[in-house]
Amino acid sequence: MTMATSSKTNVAPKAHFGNVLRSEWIKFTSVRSTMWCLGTFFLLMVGFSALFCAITVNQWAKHLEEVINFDPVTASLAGVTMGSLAIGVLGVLMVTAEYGSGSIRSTFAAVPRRSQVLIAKVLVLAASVGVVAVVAEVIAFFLGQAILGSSKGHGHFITLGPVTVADHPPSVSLSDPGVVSALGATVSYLVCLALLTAGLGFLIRHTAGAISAFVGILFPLFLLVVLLPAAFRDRLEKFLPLQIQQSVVASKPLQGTPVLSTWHGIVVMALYAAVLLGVGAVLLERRDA
Amino acid sequence: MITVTGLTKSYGDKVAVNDLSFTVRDGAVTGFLGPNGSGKSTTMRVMLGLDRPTSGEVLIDGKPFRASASPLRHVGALLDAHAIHPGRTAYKHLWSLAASNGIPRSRVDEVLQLVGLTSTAKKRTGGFSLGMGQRLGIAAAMLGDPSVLLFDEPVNGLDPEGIVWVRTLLRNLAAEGRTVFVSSHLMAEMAITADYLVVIGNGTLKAETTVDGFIAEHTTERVHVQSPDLEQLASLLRNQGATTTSSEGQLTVEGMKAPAIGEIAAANSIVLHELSPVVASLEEAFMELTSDAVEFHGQDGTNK
Ligand SMILES: Nc1ncnc2c1ncn2[C@@H]1O[C@H](COP(=O)(O)OP(=O)(O)OP(=O)(O)O)[C@@H](O)[C@H]1O
Ligand SMILES: [Mg+2]
Repeated sequence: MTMATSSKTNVAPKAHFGNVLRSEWIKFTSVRSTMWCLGTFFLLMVGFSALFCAITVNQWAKHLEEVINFDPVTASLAGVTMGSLAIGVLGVLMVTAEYGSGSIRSTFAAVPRRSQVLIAKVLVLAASVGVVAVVAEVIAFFLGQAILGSSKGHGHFITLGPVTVADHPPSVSLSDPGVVSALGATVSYLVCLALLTAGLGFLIRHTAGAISAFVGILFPLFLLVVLLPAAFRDRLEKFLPLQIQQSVVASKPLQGTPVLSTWHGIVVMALYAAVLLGVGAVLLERRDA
Repeated sequence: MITVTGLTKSYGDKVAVNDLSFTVRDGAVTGFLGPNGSGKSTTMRVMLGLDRPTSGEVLIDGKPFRASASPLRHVGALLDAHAIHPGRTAYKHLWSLAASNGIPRSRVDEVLQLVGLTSTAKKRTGGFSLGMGQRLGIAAAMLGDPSVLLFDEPVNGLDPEGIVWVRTLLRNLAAEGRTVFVSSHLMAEMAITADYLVVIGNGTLKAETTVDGFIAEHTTERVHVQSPDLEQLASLLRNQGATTTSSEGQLTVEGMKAPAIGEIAAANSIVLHELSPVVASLEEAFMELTSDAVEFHGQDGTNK
């Protein structure tokens, strides 16, 4: 072992946000959970969507309800509900893994301006989820449309109660109205969801607690609101993440349930994330690390 | 220099540190001693701005640490060697810290070499032994080549060679003029490593002095005596004001120095088989001072 303790190059540059950003990037890419979460998301997004489209081709025109509301874009993005679970876990873990191991103290001893750490984490997470979501969705979309379009039927028509439809499901291309917008909105939704869960991570600081809160917001809260008297339900339901997701993945307005328009939904999701991260940032400066 | 002024830190009802004031000097190793739960780690966390003091303040070179423009170049710290993401490699852990302060990547290799972890640098830290974790923590503290170093129980879990290595490292760092503040429960180790001591008990200051001064002040000198005429000698010594206790043919004398005992024995023609002053240890001085402040007492395991 050498006893040389000093490095000769001891220039002291100022604390740069770019350095903090690089540090967060190194941390994000150097743990296996990141690859597991993003990989799981990719597989669910592409695999589940493809499976859903294949089943649709197989079961086409068995139920009136499904046929009337059928949206080829939604079908080819059917994996988003499952996939978003992996994204949420990623957002939570990025924050709580540091609290759980205690390495958050090393982080803050190196970067005492804690809000810089929060902002750097947010940027790294948003960029990564954004890129992976674009790739996964584009693949899911083309694969899904290919599957939907693979069945040309026999040129017959099927009469289901009041409607008559083709004997095979419709498919769309990227240039059809509402398609690019739905894809973009879904990417935005997933990015907002990741930031929302990172916010939960900063607030709750425990992995199990934050993941429970995230899943609780998605599903039980959904059930709870659905069980409310109709007057309340219609007013609240459309603000639920899961409900926003329904309108976001659609290429045409949804029938039946009250929903926010696609981009209003994204704004609401962004607000959720901003509020949680904002409160998280305030508590971050106040609380003991 | 580190200046702690009127520092109090409570966690709910629990007062971990209570109105603590002391200074840690440049160019010296200052040992930080106190029983379990006495507030050492808490004090160090407050020094680093990790925990917010309830009242009072800590200044490092005149400023609160959180105001530091290049924190790792100013203060390096080992707080909890196991506070590392177990799935990250030692190398990436150090690199992420270095990057956050714009420290070149080559420095990571330097500190890995310094602590002897070069060969395990690409392994995930989850599999590290206590001692390897400790070495990695020291490497992290050294990354920015800082002028102030805080070590919370750095030799915990190190093998004998590692303990000597840390001792030499701390001495060298201090010799280079740096401020070195180190907590430990290993008294013998502190006695030979530290120049100054800060001793706390129950979160309050018990002593702030040099190692030698501390031992002298908090122990009474004793002399071991052996003689065929132990009974007679004992009563003679007691008559001269000394306190004696005897066990297994050996007399322990307090309150009288060895030369005086020898002279009394000679004057009375008593043969001495042993006359040896007992050098008090830091451990004794520490236990003497903090016995009332020990929060957690163990039992010795014998059923009496
Ligand atoms: N985050 C916390 N929340 C509540 N109590 C705490 C917290 N941190 C420390 N304490 C309490 O404060 C007291 C001082 O703890 P601290 O860890 O500073 O002691 P220590 O001197 O480092 O002990 P040891 O020698 O065992 O490491 C203890 O009673 C501990 O239980
Ligand atoms: Mg401690």
